[in-house]
Amino acid sequence: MESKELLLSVKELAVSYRTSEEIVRAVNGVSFSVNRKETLGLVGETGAGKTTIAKAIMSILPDPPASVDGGEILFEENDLLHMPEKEIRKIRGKKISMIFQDPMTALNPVFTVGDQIAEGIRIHENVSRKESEERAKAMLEMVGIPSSRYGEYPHQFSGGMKQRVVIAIALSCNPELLIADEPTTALDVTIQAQVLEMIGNLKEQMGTAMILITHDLGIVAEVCDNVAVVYAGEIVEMGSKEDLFDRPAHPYTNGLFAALPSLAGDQKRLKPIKGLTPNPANLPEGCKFWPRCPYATEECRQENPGLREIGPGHFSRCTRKSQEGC
Amino acid sequence: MIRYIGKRLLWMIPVLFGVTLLIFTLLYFANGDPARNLLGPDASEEEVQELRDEWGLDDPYLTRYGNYIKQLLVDKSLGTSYVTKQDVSQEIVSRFKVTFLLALESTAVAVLFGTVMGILAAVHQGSVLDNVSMVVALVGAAMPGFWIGLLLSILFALKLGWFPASGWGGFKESILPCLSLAIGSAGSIARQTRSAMLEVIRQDYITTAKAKGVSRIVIICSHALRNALMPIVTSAGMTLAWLIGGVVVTETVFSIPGLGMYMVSAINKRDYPAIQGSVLFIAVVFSLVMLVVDILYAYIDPRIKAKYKNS
Repeated sequence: MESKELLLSVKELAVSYRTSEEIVRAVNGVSFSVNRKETLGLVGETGAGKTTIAKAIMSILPDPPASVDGGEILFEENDLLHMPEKEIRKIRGKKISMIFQDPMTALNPVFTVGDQIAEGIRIHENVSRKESEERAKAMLEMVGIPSSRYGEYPHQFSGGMKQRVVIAIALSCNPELLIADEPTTALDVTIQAQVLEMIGNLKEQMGTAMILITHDLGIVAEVCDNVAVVYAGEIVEMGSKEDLFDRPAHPYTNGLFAALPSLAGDQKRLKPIKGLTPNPANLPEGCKFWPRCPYATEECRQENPGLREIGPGHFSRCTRKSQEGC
Repeated sequence: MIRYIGKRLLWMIPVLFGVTLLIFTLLYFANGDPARNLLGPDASEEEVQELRDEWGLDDPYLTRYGNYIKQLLVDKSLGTSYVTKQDVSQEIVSRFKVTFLLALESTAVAVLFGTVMGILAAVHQGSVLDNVSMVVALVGAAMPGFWIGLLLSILFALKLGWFPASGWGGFKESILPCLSLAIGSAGSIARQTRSAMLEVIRQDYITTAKAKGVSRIVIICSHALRNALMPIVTSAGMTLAWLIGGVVVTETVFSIPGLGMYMVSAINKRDYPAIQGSVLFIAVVFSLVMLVVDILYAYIDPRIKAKYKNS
């Protein structure tokens, strides 16, 4: 990385979902930042709040029931949370765009894929209908779909092809930040690598920064520069990919690595992290990981340890001094 | 697509046969004597019998049905009315024009108000607007059309004198009957639209559209509505078909010379050719309307079009 220029910074973001019965605290004081052209991986289990963070950045949280309780999201030094809807619409799809998890449902079944790509271009780029079509065709080619399929409908495409269309939509206006929310989870394993490689290449070509949401550490190792591990709506560990993979500090991160099946050893069983992710409607006091943590002490039950810098740019939310005994 | 339409048209043949058989059998077993009805209580038994023989009313069931079918297929005629001695098909067509116009107008009004109300309610789910429009829709759907007709007639025709209370002629005469028919349907269409829109708004592709930066109004009116259109088109089609076949009471309230009135008077007089003819005619129109609805499906949803092509 030559010169690091700050693109997005999220500060103390808190989001909750309110229903008549309960308040679900999905995101609790999350802070991170993304520099231009860099890739940040948001890693965590299902329900950890990763998608909520992404949707908050896009400001497409369903409201109600979701509500942003605090924090700020600075994009190019403008706070997205306090921006009028009209201004945000100019950013959405143009400067920040998103690839969704499930390509099977992310495309509108009654419009042609070409029109769905062209629509975004027409909104943001102030071009004629014809030109937007031309550019949409070029985008299709770029993601490896022949432009002759412009007029076809989503049901005529396979899952992998649909995800390519979704990617084409997301990249159609040359965004500065791309949020990819588990872009390969819904795809066949054989397609996953292809799609991932394509996202990586296009991102490289366009010089786009990316937030990659995933629960797959293998993908993180391949694609990301920095990683933030999310647990129960909090970042428990954050640092460069090297920090995380070579010197994981938080017991949860360690647990994630331990849970990976290893091909090297003579391993018969997987080593899961014991217990379940806490119910976000009823989070434990203190450190949110203590009920599952093998090193939990009385102190952990009472006080939530803040993020501490344990190495340059490497943060961990744990009171333990170092990786003793891991 | 053409093949699909052709297939559907062919399917209408057995359906219509079924309709003729059903209505013929019903009338066969219905009591009442058309000849006696026509000639009145003073006519002698011989006169009545003579007329019955002329119409072949004492022939066995199968002979009569056979004759009827033969008349339909070979003579291509719905028969001659016992009462007016006119060709039934001509009578039906002239009556149908009135009914069809009224039904079309009412459906258009119902769809317009119903969809707009339903969309507004869905977009502002849980708000006062939502609750008010759903209560209005419920009340509208629950009130019988003829009663609304009477109320409208009392207020706008008798008290205010804005519109004529009865009769048929131009647009002005059609407003009150049209409204009394449309209010109920608008209510049910509004409820349908609301639930369909709520369903669609939650879909992922709506989030995708939002993430593209599409404005709210375009999302609602284009991305969402197009997907919610199926149940709306279905109920619009049902409304139209139902109005064509069943505006009897409202036609009576406003004394409109439509198909409904024609059928009721034919039934009262046991005018078999007229009854059978109108029922068959309504069945044809109903089937055609349903076919049009199904064709519209294909234009709304490309997946259905693909299905039609493969079938």
